[in-house]
Amino acid sequence: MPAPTTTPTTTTPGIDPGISPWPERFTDPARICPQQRREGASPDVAP
Amino acid sequence: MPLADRNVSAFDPSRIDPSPGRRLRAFATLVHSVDPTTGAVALRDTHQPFIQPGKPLTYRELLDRVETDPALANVHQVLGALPLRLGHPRPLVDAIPPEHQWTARDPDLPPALQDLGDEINEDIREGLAAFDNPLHYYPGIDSGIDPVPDDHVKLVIWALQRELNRELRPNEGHYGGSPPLPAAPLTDLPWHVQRAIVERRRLRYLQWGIGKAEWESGVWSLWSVPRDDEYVPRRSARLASIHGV
Repeated sequence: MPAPTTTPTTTTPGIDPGISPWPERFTDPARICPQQRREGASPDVAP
Repeated sequence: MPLADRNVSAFDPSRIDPSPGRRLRAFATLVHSVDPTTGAVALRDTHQPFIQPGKPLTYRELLDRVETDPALANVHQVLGALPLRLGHPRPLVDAIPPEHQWTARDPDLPPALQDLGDEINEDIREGLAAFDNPLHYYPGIDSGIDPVPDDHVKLVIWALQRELNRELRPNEGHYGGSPPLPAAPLTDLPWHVQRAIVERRRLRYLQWGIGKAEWESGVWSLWSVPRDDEYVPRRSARLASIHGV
């Protein structure tokens, strides 16, 4: 009779349950205005 | 209807419009119809038509004409030397200033390069997932760009943070009610994510034909932007799928 198998324990890395996801903590860069998104490319700084 | 098949009117790349074509989208931003009945078209910010074909042209037809018609060589030339930066001219930044003075506006890309700005923005946005998962898979660029020194990573992250700090989103979308959410602190991201953001930014510029020489001269060419007819901006693709556009 084979030995009973055990289910391996897996840990999924992720956010501490006490901390809300980043879009609830910080401004979402994708939600700023179009001109600001173009400024965000910072064309005064080299690529 | 794909942009290629639309009659020339006025195109705003900042709107949610997943219409493909890397060069075509930039070109469409640079022209506008001044008389739909005759198909007369002018360059952006002017009202003097450079072509009056007698009937409306699609964006694809017009781009093909500008690319190949010797009579439009002057327009071809103008679109081959466009300003890379808008706003009051300021010295280029090659090091983090010891005492940065906040200004109302920093140089921005022209509207025709909205897709480039949005791609860089999407790269930042995707990198922020590392705040919630330190093992978030976020690769940089191994080939196709010049190596990025650590000091340049720090400079670019500083510059990106400068802009994120400028405009903050009010919590829950209520302007005037609750305080705005703080800007994401990019220097708190794992170093490999910061580096990947900067490497991707370098690649994005190259994808629009902009390298060190173009940055130094402050001039870019529409003709150095690959045609890339299948290209769809990730921001438009993402938001269109959410909003069913």
